[in-house]
Formats: sequence, C-alpha cells, structure tokens
Amino acid sequence: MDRKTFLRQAAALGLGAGFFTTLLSGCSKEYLTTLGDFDVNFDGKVLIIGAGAAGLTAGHLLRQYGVDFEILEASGNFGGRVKEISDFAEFPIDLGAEWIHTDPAVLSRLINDPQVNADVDLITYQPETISLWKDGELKRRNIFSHFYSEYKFKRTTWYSFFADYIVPNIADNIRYNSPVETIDYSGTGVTVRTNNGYVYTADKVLVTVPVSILQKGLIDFIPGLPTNKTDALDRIDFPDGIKVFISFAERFYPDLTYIGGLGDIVSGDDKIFYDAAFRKDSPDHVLALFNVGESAAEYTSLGSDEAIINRVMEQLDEIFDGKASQHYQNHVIQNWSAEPYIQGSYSHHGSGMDDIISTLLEPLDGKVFFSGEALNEEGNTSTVHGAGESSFPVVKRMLQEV
Amino acid sequence: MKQLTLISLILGLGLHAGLFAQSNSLQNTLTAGYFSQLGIEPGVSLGADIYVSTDLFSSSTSAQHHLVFQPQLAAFTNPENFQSALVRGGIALRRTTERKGRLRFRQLGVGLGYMFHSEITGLRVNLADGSITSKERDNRQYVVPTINASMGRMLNDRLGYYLSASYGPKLHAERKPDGAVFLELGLSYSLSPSK
Repeated sequence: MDRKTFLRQAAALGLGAGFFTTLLSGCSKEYLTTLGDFDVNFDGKVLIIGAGAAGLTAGHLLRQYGVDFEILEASGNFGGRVKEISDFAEFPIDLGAEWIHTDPAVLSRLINDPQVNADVDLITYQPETISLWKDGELKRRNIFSHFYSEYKFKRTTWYSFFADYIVPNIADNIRYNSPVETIDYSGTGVTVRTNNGYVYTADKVLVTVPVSILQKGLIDFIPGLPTNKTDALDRIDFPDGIKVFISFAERFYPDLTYIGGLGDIVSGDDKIFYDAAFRKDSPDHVLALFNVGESAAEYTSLGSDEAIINRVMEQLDEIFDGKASQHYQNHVIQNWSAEPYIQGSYSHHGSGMDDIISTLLEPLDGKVFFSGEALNEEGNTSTVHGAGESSFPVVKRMLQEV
Repeated sequence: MKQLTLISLILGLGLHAGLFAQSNSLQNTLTAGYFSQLGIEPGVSLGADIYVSTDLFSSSTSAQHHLVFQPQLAAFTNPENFQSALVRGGIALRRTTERKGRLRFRQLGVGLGYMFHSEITGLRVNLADGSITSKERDNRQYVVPTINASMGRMLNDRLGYYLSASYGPKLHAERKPDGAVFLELGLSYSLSPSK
C-alpha cells in the first residue's frame, strides 16, 4: 500500500471515529491527535523488538490505546542510538542522536498527550563561527551559518526526553538483556526466542532494530525474509559512526569545523568538530567529534579507545596549532560501530528510497511489522523524530487490522 | 549612546544632503523594495535617492554623472533565527544615460550603517501542544561600512525600478568581523516628473 492510498483509507475510516471511544476504556479522545481518528479492531498482544526511539514510541502509543504489549531490548538500557552521559560536563551530553532536525513541535507529537504539563528548553543550533579544514588549512566560512539551522535540547537530551516523558508509561513492559534470535511467524501467531532461552508469543510483532541487524542476519525469521525485503535491505548503506567528546581548559575552536570540502558535506560523509557547549550557558569547554560515513572507519577500525583519542588529538593539534594538547582535560568516546546491537551509525538511502521503504514496511503475513530510523515513509529517515514517527502509521495499521 | 550618535550622524547627513538637493530642484526619488541578506533572509527597505551634485564631469557623450546621497531604513529576518534592522547612509557616483526616452543608471557607492540584530538563541516548547511559549534572545549592534553597486531604469516619468548589491564587514566590539551581503530589488518614485 502506498502512502497516498494509506492516507485515503485512513481518512475514510476516520468517518467512524465516534465509535472508537466506546471500544477501549481508558483511551480518551485526546490521544487521537497523533494518529488521527480510526477504528481499533485489534485486541491481541504485540511484541516490540527494540527499545530505541521507534520501539519506545510504538509502546507508548500502544499503552495509550490500551493494547497489551512487551518490548524486548537486547541491551541493558533503553534508547538504542539515543544515549546520554550526565557526569562528563556541567550539562548532560547526547552520546548518540543529538540534534532535532525538524520543527520542535514534533516533541509534542511523539508524546501525544495534551494533558502533559511540561515545557522543554531548546537552543536554536545555528553555529555562528564556522571553519573548513581542507588541504592543511583552516578557512573561515561563517557564511555557511546562513544556510544551516536546527535545534538541540538546552540542558537536557534526547535520552532524557524519552526517559522523562515516554519510558515512565511503559517501563514495566520492557524486558532488558533480551536479544532476539528467532522470529517464527509460520503459525497462527508469532513466536519469538531470545538468546537467553526465553520464548515469547504474540499476535503481532513490530521489529524496530537497526537495519544493520537485519542486513547481517542476526535475527532468524521463520520463514525467511522474502527476497524483495533482503534486496531492499542490501540497498541501504549503514556506515560506521563515532562521537568523541573532549573537555578543554580553554576554548580555542570555532562553533563548527567541517573536515573536508563541500563535496564531502554533500555526499553525507560527515566529519565535524563542534562546540558541544554551544548556547548551553555552561562554563565548560567541550569539543566534540561527530563522524559518520566511510571516513569514520579511520577511528572505528583502530581497535582501542586509547588509539582513537590519540588519533583525534593528533588531528586537533594539527588543526589548532597544538592547542588541543595544551588545554586537554578529559574525554569520552562512543564508538557506535562497536556496539553489538547497533553496529554502525544510521541509514543512508541512495536512489529509490521510497521503493526501499515501502518494500520493507510491508508486513509479513499481516503479523510481523517493521518501523525504525531507516523506515520513515515521510522521508524523515536518519533522525530520532523520524524513527519515532515511523511507528505512527505502523501502529495505526496494526490496530486497524484484526 | 554611541549607537544614537551614529544614527544621528547618518540621518543628519541625509537631511543636510536633502536640503542641498532641494535647492537644486533635482529629481529626487523615494525607494521601496525587497531587501535581503544573501537573497535568502528576506526583508523590506525604504529609502531615498537625493541628488547632491549633478553633471559632475562635462563630456560630449550623453552620459551624465551625479553624486547621490542614499539614506535607507531596512529590516530583514530569518524568522526562526533572527530579526535585524539596518539604518544606513551612503554616497554614490551615479552614471545616467537615456535610451528610448527613459533614464537608466548605474552607480557605485560607499555607505555606513548601524545594524541592530536580535538573535533567537533558545526556545521554550510546550510539550502538550508543541507551541513555543517563549524565546530567548541575544541582542547585538553592529557598525556596517559597505560598498555598493546598483543599476536601474525609469519605467515612466515617475516610476522606476532598481537592483542593488552591497557588501561590507559587520563590525562588533567583541567579535571578529563577518561579511554581510545585502541584495535589493525595488521600485523608485520620483518626487517630480522626469523624462
């Protein structure tokens, strides 16, 4: 089903919205804002694989609609590629996804609760001092600031957003340290086995793991994934990714330093050093490396954190005339490629993105569904909000179908 | 206080030039147009072209050269990031020619501006409905000397259009200078009929 068809059908079903509120006790009309009005025809159990942004959002919506569900998370914590360190600097730091790449109103849509009584402070992330490091020369290019603007959390993080507003509603339903080995949908329901010997059964399963896990076959599907899905998975690039945060006694760097030329920026091979304390109203000086793409392998392949920080410091000293070593205080490294249940950064879609996503979103036998950062049918891939929003239509479809 | 002095200087020069020009009964114009930083941060501009001195270099060609004073008030914005206002005065050497009975001009000039810039540095977002409940701002003032190139032509005896581009550093006491590029496209209205 393509998106237009989906929207048409959703609108048609919306005509019966008045009937909806009588179906589920505890599901008040204010929860209809994000998914729109529709009839809920499903009253079984859902298993969600993965407690990242997509899985948490899906669980949150299912809770709001009163549907029975469990979330199986492979690691010992929720968040997936949303992760925080709170004791490195005077402000909490996002070790994973950090920017809000869209209208901040998306935060409200993810929470989907008009009764929530809270505000969140954001910064407008429009770096004012921008440099390019290319051919051994640091060149000021502040003019780029006119073409780039996003948002960030000011004194909180993406992680704390989920921790404060999403997870409390679903914490009892998350099963940590439960890496899924097999998803058997050959019977009437779905049977899921984890590598610690537990077996879960459900009527429907929502798979939200990173596409790298599916690409590498780390979850066995019974029957196997159809060829059109494996082909679509092969067409998604999921490159290496790393973030390194370094605290310094003094600031000697611009708000943003691009490594490479404009061609590298456009190609999606992002390597930047940025002031992580930008507009955070903090006395701390924290410079961060964000590197996603082929060039990230320069660090992720080094094998040890010590080798990585040495390499980063060498480069910073070269760029900033030795000031990095002079003012160095501390560092923290988040090597996403080395995370066993992530194994990379985030999806990069080439040509035919719409076809890839629509192929992967098609459920298996009406029982196994997919959502996640790589599967946002609106095109908002590679983002936290896109991951969360990717679960909206999938949850709606799961609830509409018997 | 410095800002007031600078604005007063710019406007005072304009007034002086305007009085001088009136004595020469020249075809001064009012201008209004689309004003932008880099063409992408939109705004509006109001200004005037006040002839200070005409026919500077006598020549046998049909071209004439004039000195024009140009006071200007402009505002532009990137709604999510900032609002700015610019008060500027400039002096330009204008070369006019006549073609098909209508005046055209090209000019080069220099100017001095005072820019008030209000940067939106933060937002408070209500999580219930996504509305922005408050904005945090960083207000700054810049002195902006500019060089300028313009061209235009009359469409009839009163109305004309012009294109203009200016470049200059934004000077701030505590910041390194940043380049500013202003682009304009507007209409001019002659206070008295021209050819």
